Amino acid sequence: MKRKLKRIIIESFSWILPSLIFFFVLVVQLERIQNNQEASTLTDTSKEIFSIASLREYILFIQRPGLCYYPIQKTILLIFCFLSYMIILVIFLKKLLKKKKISYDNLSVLLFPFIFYMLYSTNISVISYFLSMYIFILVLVPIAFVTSYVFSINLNSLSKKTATYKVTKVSQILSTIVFIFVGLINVLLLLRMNIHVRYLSVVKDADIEAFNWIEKNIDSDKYILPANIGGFGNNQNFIFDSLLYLRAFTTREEVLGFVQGNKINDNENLRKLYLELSNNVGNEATIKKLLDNNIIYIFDGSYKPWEEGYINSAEFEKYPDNYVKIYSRNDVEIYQIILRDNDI
Amino acid sequence: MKSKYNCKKIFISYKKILTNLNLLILNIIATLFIIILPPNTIEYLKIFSVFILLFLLPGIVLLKVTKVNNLANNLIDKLLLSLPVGLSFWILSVFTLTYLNIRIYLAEIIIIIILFTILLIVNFHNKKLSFKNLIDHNIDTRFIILYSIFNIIFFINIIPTKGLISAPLHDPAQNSVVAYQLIRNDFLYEGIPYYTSHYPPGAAYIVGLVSISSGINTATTNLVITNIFHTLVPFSFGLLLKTLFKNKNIEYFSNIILSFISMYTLMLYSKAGKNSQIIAYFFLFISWTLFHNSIYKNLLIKFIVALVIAASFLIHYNNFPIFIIISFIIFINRLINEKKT
Repeated sequence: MKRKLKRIIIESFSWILPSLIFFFVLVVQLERIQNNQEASTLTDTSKEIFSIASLREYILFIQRPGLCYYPIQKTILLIFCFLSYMIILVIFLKKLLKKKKISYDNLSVLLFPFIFYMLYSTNISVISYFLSMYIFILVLVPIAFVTSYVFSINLNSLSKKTATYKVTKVSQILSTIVFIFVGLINVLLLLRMNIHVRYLSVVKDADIEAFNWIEKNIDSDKYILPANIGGFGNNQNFIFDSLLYLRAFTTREEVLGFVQGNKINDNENLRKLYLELSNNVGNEATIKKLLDNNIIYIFDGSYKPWEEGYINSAEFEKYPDNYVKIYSRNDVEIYQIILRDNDI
Repeated sequence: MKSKYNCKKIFISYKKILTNLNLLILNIIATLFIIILPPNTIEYLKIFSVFILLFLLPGIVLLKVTKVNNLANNLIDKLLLSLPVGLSFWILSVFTLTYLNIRIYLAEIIIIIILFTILLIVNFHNKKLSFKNLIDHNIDTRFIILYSIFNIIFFINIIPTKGLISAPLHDPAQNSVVAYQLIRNDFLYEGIPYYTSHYPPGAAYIVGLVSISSGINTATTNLVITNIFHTLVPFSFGLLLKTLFKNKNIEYFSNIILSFISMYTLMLYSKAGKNSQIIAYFFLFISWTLFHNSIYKNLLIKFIVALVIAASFLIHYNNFPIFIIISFIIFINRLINEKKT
C-alpha cells in the first residue's frame, strides 16, 4: 500500500513539469489578449474577456444567452448533467471505499454523455435556436452512447444460458438495425446540410475581382462602409456580403467588420452613424460625419444570402449629387461619396 | 497432414492479404477521386499535399524519435496520433518564436519540411521494411473498415463544398482574416490589432502555414482544412473510446455515431460556422487519448503530450476547462487501477 501510494505521489509530481508548458502558453495568450484589448479603441474594455468569472460561466454553463429562451430544456439539461456527474462520483467513491477496482466500463456510460453535454453546452446558445434539432440531439446522444456500450460487450465472455446473454444479444441485434436505418437516412441528411453550406458562403469570383480592383485603386487610409449589414441589436456587426472577407484578400480595411480592428472612434458611434444613414441616405450631416472619419467608399457585394440589411444600395442612385458609382461589374457595386471642396 | 494444414493456413493468409490489398487500393483510389474531382482540382491537391508534408511527416518523425509511437499499436493509430503531434509542433514553434519576436518566412518553413522528409527517409532506410509485414500487421480488417468509413465521411464533407471560395457564415472569416494578417506580418502576432478574444491563434496558425506554403488564399484554405478536421473528429473520438475501454467494437460504433447519427459537429459548422471548435474537438479527443496513455510513462512522453494539450488550448479556449475536468477523473482512475509494472 505504501509503495503504491509512493508511486501515485511520484506520478502526480512528474506531471508538474510538463504541465508548466500548457500553463505558460495559456498565461502568455491571456496576456496577449489583454495587451490587444488595451491597444484597441473600438472594443469594449470594461467587459472582462477571460477571467475566473468567465471560466465559472464556461464550466457551469449557466447564464448563457441561448439557454434563456428555452427554460424547460435548460432545466432538463442541467439536471441530466448534474445527475450524471453525481452518479459518477458516488460509484467512484463507493468503489474507492470498498477498495475495489474502478473500471471504465462502469463509468463509461455515464461519463461520456456527460463529456458530450459539456462540449454541447459550450455551444448551446448556437444550437438552441433550432428547437427540433435540439430535442433530437438531447434524446439521441445518450441512447447512442448506451447502444455503443452494449455493442462493446463481448458476447463470448458471457455464459449462453444467462439472462444477460439473451438481453445483450437481442439489444445488439436491435441496435444494429436501428443504426443501419438511422445511418442511411442521415447520410442523405448530412449531404443535404453540407449542400446548404453552399448558400452561406459569401465570396464569389466577382468579389475577388472587385477586391483586386480595390487593392489597386483605393488608398489604404480610406475606409469602406458595407452597404449590407445587420445584427446591431446583439452588440455585434454582421456584414451580409463578401466585404466580410475584405481583409483576407486585401490590405484595405472596412468599418463595422465582424473582425474588429483598431481604428476610427468607437464602434457604438459608428453604429449610430450607420443607422442615421439608413434612415436617410441623402442626409448631408451624416455624409459629413462619414467623410470626417475617412469613410469614403460603400461596397455592395455580388451575393447576399441574408438579403439586403439596413440599406438598399439602390437608394444611393437617388442622390447623384452625393454618391457616384465607381465600380460596377458582375453584380458588385462600389460607390464613392462625392468630396466637396471644403471636405478635402 | 501437418503440411497440408500449413499450406491451407498460408493460402488463407495470402488470400486475406490480397483481399485487404485490393480493398486498400480501392480506398486509396476513392480518396484521390474525392480530392481531384473538379472544380478546384489543383487547389485541393496543393492543400492536401502541403497538409501532409507540413503536419503528418514531422508528426511521424517526432513520434518515432521520442518513442511516443509505442503508445499506438498499429498504423491507423500512429497516423491519428502523429497528425496532432505534427500540428502541435508547428503551432507551439510559431507561438514561441513570435513571442520572442522572431519572424517566420516561407523559406524557413520549406527548409523544415525538407529536413523532416530527410529524417523520415533515413529512418525508413535504416529499417528493413517488408511490404508483406506492413500489409500483414497493419492493413487488417480494422484498417479497411475505418478507411472505408473515412472515405464516406470525406465524400459527404468535401464534395458538396467543392468550388466554394470561403467557408460559411461569419466565424471562419475571423480565422481567414487573422491568418492573412499573420502571413503579411511574418507570423508576428503583436503587430495585429485585431480583437482576438473570440478565438486564440492556433487555428489561424494552421491556416496561415498551409496557405503560405500552398499559395492558396486563406479563405479557401480555411474551408478545406475545416473539412479535413471535420472528417477526422469521429476517428479521434473512436480512438479515445478504444483506448479507454480496450475494445475494438466500440471504436467502430462511436465512429458511426459521431459521423452519421449525431450531427452535432456538422450543426456547429453549417448553422454557426464554428470551424475552430471542430478543430478543437479533434485535439481534445486526441489529448485525452495521449494523456491516458502517458500516465506512468517517461518524462519525454509526458512532455510531448503536454505539447499537444498546450496546442489544444491554443485552438479554442473551451478546451481548457473541459480538458481539466475530465482529465482529472481519467488521471485518478488510472492511478488507482494501475497494475504493478
